[in-house]
Amino acid sequence: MKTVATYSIKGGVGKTSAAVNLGTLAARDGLRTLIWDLDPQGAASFLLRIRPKVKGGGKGLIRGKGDPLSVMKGTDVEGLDLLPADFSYRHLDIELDKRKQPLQRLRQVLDKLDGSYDLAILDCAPSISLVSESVFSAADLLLVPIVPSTLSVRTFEQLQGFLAGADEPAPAVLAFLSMVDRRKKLHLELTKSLPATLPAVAETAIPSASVVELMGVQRAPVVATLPRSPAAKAYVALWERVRDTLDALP
Amino acid sequence: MPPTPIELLLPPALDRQAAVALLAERLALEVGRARTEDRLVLDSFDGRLRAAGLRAERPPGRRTGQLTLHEPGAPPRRVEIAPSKRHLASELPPGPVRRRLAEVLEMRALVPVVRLRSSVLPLAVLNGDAKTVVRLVIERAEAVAGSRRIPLAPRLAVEPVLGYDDDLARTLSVLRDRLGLEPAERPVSDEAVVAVGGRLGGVSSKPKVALAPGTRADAAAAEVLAQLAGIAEANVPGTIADVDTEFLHDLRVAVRRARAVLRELEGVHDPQRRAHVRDELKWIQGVTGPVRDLDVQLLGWDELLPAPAGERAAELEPLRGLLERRRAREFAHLRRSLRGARFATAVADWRALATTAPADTEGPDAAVTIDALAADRIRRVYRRMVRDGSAIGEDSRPEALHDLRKRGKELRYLLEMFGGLFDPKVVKPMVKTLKQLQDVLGDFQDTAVQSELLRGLRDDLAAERGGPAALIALGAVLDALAAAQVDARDHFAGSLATFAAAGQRALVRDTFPKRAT
Repeated sequence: MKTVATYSIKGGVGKTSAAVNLGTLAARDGLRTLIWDLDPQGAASFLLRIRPKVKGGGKGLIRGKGDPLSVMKGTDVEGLDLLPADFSYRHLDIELDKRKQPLQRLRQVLDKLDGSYDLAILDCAPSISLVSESVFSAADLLLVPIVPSTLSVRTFEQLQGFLAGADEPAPAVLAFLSMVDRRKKLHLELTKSLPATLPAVAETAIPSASVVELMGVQRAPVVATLPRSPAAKAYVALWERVRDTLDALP
Repeated sequence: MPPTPIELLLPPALDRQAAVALLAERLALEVGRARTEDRLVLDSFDGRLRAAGLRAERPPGRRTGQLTLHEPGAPPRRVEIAPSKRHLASELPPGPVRRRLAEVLEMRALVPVVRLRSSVLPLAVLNGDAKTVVRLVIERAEAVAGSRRIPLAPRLAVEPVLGYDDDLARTLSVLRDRLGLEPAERPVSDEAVVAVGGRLGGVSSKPKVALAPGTRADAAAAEVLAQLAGIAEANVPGTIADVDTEFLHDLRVAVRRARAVLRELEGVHDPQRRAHVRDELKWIQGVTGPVRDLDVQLLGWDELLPAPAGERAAELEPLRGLLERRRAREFAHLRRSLRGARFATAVADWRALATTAPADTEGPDAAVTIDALAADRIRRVYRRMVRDGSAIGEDSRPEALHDLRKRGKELRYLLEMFGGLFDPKVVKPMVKTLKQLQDVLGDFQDTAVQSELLRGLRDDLAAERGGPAALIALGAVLDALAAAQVDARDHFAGSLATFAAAGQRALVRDTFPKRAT
């Protein structure tokens, strides 16, 4: 099972939208896919119409108790299952800190699901913390949305620097431009220049579109509800890039 | 993972609209988009996918298309395929479908089993959050056989959604208890196979003989020989069409088993007819042998390259080319033989021997019971194996191990065909220890045969392009094979000790009595 984590230090940049849409496309490609909603706000769970609660408590999973498969929920997309969010994840840092080998805890939960799934997508809460480091340790690929701004680019470069200096083996990194407003000159410039200058940035940019915002109302992935929209097409292109990147990983 | 979908039968008079209306009265439903599906259901000749709970389909016709693999609890997985009458897992593009199929099919090819045309309507049962908690599919299908269209009973598939067991139970309660829908006896693809007169689960290479103690030996022999002839005949078209290597393998195994029956039940048949059929079966083994030997080399190509030869795989490619060309040549001979009059007559004589009425048989043991005869043979062959095996020492010639393996095969066939007449608590462990011993002897002999065959190719290989480098790499392969042979020989004593242990010998003595003369 390969693991992708949608990650950003900043919130509201399109992590969850990417996780849900890419998860849908992966399942359509025939991959048995799971999304683990690690965000206590439970945005991915909400978008997939699943109540954000883990039976027996999310902390139990981290402590190594229980079978994660028994708390999984099937989504409306055939082949896409969800390990729902749990409000107890707000204290995940503290919980991990109490445990031995905290960086291995998420990996250990995922190992129990290996064999049942081909792909795991971790939808992370925005932060840089012990949880983030555990995610880095568990993931094969870090998928990082970047809002087209100078500060966001700088933050991405800082993340790359952090990973390069980490003791643990670092995951591969793929960034993509998110919430791109084609009416803004800076957005257009960065959409062209960033993939050319930074090889870890995908050429595909996810537009800032009302259909993406409407996902919160319709509670369904845009690739399912409006597959011909530019946003859906951009997610398809991004998924193809992610899939190729995963296929190339050992 | 969710369990396999449950299929319920819908009343034939109920059209799709009426069925939806009926369901919508009692369930919160979302109606999907209706579609027509036309597909060939695929499986191996021996039904491996069905046995593993998988279903593969592709569009009919000669177009390039997608092969779809269905597995309970997984989304349908698709892979692009080129038009072909058969599909080997090794020829599919790399990815999860190829990996999964390779696990189940090994070297067997997928071939069409039945064609299905359906009109399909997906439905979703929703909860209070408008979330799908159970999937339903209304399917009206027909099996297609040439120009015939055979309508199948309309059905409703109920597909569970992970984590919504209570909703599933409620839905099933509505469908079964309140609407009175009965479960279908088998999946729609099986229904279609039955409708066109096909065989469910494919053709097994193992005879299924349920003999009762006290059966006359000639009747038992007839039953086994007839089944084996049927298996051999069933595998001939696939062998001639070269669908996959297992057709030839299973044909040869059926012939080998039939020869074993004739050898073990020596006094059952008319001696002249028996001798004639045995000669003809030996001839079939002879004409089919060379292709099988080459198949074994090519199937085991990856294992042929143990380190350090594995690093030289590219250098050995001329050898593979040589093996493939030689196989093509031998296969042309084989095909001619299988299409020839001698083969047809041989199989007809084999069948005739099997179907001779017991009263007409002239063998002295025809009326002896099969349990008495089989027990005596099992006891004798086992004792001889123990004796011969115990005499094998470090200095014994390789032929001694080869001969012991032949005896082992004899015992194995006896146990496979007639073991059901005896106490399974004895037969099962006996088969297990025999198998362990045979594996060791098989490793020993296979490496010997492999070495001999490869040595015989050296002159031809030298003349190939890239031949000198291939010859050097072949030297490493032969060294590795020699080492593997030494390993197998080292394991022999341990396996024989278990097989010939005092307790085991006592069990054999008590379970398989000597025949009263």
